[in-house]
Amino acid sequence: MKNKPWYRMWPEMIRQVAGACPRMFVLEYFWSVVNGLALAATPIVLEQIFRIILESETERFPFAALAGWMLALLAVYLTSEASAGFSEYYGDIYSEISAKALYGNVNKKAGRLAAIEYEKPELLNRLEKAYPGAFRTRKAVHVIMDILTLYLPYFILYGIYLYHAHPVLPPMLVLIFLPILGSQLLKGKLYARLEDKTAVLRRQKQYYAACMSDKEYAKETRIHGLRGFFRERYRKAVQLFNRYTIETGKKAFKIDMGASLLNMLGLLGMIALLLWLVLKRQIALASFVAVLTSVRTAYDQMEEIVQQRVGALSVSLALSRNYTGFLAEEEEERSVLHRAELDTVSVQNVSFVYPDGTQALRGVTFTAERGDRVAVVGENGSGKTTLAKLLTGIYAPSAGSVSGGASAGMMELRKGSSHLFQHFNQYRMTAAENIGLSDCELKDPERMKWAMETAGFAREETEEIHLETMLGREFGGTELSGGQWQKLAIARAIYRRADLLVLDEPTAAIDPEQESGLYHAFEKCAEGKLCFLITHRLGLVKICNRILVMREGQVLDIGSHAELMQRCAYYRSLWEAQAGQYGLW
Amino acid sequence: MRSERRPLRLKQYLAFPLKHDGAHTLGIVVLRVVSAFLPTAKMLILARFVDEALRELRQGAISEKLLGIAGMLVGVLLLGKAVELLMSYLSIHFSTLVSAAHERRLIEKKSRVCFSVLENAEDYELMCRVMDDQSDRMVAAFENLMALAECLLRILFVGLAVAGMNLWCGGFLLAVLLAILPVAKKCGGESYSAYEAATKYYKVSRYLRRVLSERDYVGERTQYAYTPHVQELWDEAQEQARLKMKWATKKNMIRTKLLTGAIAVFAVLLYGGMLLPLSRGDLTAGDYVSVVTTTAQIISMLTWSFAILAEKFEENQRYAEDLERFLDLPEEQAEAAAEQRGQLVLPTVSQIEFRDVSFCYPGCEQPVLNHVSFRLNKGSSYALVGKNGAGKTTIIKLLTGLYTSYTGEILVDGKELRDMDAQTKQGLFSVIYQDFARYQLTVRENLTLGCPVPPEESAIWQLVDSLDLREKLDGLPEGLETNLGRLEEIGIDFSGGEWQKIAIARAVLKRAPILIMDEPTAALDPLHERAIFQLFAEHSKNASISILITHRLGGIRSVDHILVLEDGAVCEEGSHEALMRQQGLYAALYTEQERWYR
Repeated sequence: MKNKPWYRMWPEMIRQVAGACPRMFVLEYFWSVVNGLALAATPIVLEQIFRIILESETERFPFAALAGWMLALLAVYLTSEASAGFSEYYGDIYSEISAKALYGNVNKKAGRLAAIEYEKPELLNRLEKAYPGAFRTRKAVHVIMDILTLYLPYFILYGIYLYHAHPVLPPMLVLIFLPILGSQLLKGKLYARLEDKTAVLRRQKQYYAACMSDKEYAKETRIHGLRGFFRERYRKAVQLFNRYTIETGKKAFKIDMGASLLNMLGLLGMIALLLWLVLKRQIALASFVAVLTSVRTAYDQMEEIVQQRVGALSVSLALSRNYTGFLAEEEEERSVLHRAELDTVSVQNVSFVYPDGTQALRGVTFTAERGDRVAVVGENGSGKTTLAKLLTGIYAPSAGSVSGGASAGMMELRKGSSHLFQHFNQYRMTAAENIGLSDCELKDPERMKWAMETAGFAREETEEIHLETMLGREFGGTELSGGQWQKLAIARAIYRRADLLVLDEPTAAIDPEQESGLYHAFEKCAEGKLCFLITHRLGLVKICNRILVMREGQVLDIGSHAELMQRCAYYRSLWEAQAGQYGLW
Repeated sequence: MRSERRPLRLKQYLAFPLKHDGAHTLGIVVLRVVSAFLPTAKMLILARFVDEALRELRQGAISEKLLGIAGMLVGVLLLGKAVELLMSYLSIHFSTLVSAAHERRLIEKKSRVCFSVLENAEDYELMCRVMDDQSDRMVAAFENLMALAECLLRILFVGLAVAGMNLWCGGFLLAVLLAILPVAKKCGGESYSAYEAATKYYKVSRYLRRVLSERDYVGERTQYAYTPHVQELWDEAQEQARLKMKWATKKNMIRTKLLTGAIAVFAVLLYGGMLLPLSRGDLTAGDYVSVVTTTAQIISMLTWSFAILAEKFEENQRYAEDLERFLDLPEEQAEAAAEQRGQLVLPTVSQIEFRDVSFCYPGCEQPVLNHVSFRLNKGSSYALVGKNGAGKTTIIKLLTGLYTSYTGEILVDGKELRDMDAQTKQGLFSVIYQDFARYQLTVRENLTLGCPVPPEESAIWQLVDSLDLREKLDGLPEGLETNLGRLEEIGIDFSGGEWQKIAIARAVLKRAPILIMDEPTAALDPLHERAIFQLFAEHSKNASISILITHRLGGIRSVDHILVLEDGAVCEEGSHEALMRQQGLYAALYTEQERWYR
């Protein structure tokens, strides 16, 4: 279905775009039709004026007849301007309205995908292209509607006029035009090939430029003095890139030249024919002048359609597939929205494989009850964060089951749990929004204040950062330190009403002075709940009654600190590595 | 270091292409002038043709003269096409070369601006505006100027030619057409500033869109199911922007169309007015017909493309202002030329001294460092300890020369840091940042980039072994020459931990006298954490002075000397044992952390 032929994509695309506001859509293109007709009417009226002037006898100058046509000309001009103005105005407004509708569709769609989809590079690629695709969909529809409502009426009326002047003229005009069409197709292929050839070079160019100048690389590039190294790489990529571009430009030029030659021959033929017809008195001199001068305009219009509109159309059409394709992406089933009591979490023989084939978990089995505080420890890459995402129903297990008791499946788990993510977000919104996002329906400022306090915001801090403070420098707000953002993320996690709380690396960005305070805060938050604490700071196990030791995706052991120190050598080595630094081992 | 004055505004859209591709630029200018004259030529010939045809048709005899005039008409047509083709030929080189030169200039400048500029939000935005997708801007702006100039020239030539036929008509034509120019220009400017009001909302909506769709947000988005709520915020921002735009569009459209409507009225007035001399025989029928058709074409040109050209013109002017500001951003010292790097002698350092150093980040009022003084001596390892925001990382940024706007002195072997040349400074430091760079180059390049002279193979492998990387590197398809990242067709990616080891190896292989590790273990498990601390201890022996920054106080007991920072100043210093005896801030922090492991 991805490769539906383009003509079958139209109904859906037009429905999508026009659906945003049908009334305005119709208005825009109604005026466009009027504009097209007015444009074609101009040479017709001019010819009438010329005819009267060229055929008049000098003795009796026909002022009266001319005055009538002059008024008609004025009317045509004004109609043309007014209709162009209206259609442009509605067009501008409409492009905003449709952008809102189409981008909104992508936004909503993105929210309906399963989280695991975001681990697939192809999906991210498609998502990245979906927004430009939405823009292009609007553009493609606009171009096609323009052709249908502006150019088509223009050419029909102008064609009738030409036919009226002489029946051979309309087909001749089309014939003259064919070389341009052909050259355009050839050039399209040429540039597509160039694109293929230079895609890598373009990436290299951008990347080396980034290494030279982007903030991400600036510190090391500068401290090691690498600017020259990357400049040289950049220069080489650019050189090759330019060479290909110029080569292709020259080839395209040859095609253009050939097409122009044919085209000129045709035009000369047409002029000769017109001249011959005038001399044979088959058409009036006035018609000759009117046709000669208006044919140029008509020709320019055609050229514009082919070179700009059709070019844009084929690009837009290709890219708009990214939009329609993305909207057809499979969604996650999210049936349940009511809150279930989660008194127990049971993980049975769970395995989890990422889309790239990495096996993160294998055969994980354990249960935990309300009131448990479970620390999850293990090396980087042992599957702790993946386990966290399965516990709160963000991912579905590849095999086995995660459930919150008899009646609670993945969606109930998600609904009934809260999660501080290792890579938590920093929202450029107010503090209240930052906290409230975790439970949008709640809207409870008192609870927000409680959450901030519990998350370790000191009194001085909350005086500076109150709920309505805009955060983040982007929109002129207050910038927080890494530790403050982390505390805010903790506040967000505990603000949410939940029976199950998962805290993934909650103290990575916290300084030692605040660490202890936070540990106690976690203890408080976990009261009456089931809480998982994922951490590399093994001191934190002190506030937990159970410890889950993970290694290479498996549960190595589960027990209390004392038990594990006794029987689990691996746990002992972890403990020793950290506690030993304090000289305690 | 401020760069010399640059050519202003629009002038640089001419000066820059002339400088970088003078021949083609001049060619294009000449062709534009020719092209501007063609409508006038056509008008004059057409007038003669019509008069002659009228005469001969009435007489019933066709002469060669008429055919000759028709031939000239065709000639003008051919010339027009030739000019068009020639112009497109010149553009092939012109646009490629000038775009590349413009892009190169931007990147070069950005790579030289002071580090503070990169960290300043406002400057950063300016850089984005000037650089993002703007490599074609120079060519587009030049073309825009040319097109506008051609437009005006065309009108001027036609007006003069008409004045030659009839002074009054020509004068009227010129007066009307030239009168609309300032108005048209004003339209473009007004609309631009009106649109700017909407950009604030667009920025918000763009940000919210990221929250709604990007991978970085997918965890919280899924867990908290906030899509409907944020979508509402997005709708609101988008709607606000739309209303601002709508208002601007309406105002602008009315203005433009009143203008073009007026042009139409004046045109018809002109056509009517010209009937008078025509009826008196002061103007031939051919003159009349050809002037009317030419004017009609100019009108359609004006109403179709002039408004767009004027709007782009205004945009380009804004861009020129931004560009000028961008090019004026302060630069840091030039780095050592590539060929000199080989001769860089890495000196040993016997002392670093901060003497009464104070520092505020540009645009902030709160000082981050407040009269800091301390000395670091050769042969010792040091640790910086303190709360977030106490100034640890800032000290490193000042020391490595990323910021120079401090007061007080930073002396390396008694020499002020700011007075050192870039070359010397580069040779001083090996730094491992928490947010280390992941260069998409080969493994070997990643390892040896910082070295002024290529290190010996055995040194590389020895380090690889000590970092426990040998197995990984041996497994690579092309060994050290394997490309990392996705830039080349064949490339492989490393895990975060492996990248970090590469970054450490890069710093260590450089063998600079001062080794610095900034928060290397924030996200590491206990085993890795210990390994990194051991590595630091090991390699600090090879360096003159080594500095470690960390929150993990257990890891720094083996460091010789600890500096404890509070509120931008050193509040305690000494060895671990000494500080513990002192029972101050450090002892409190350490005991608090250690308590959890008892």
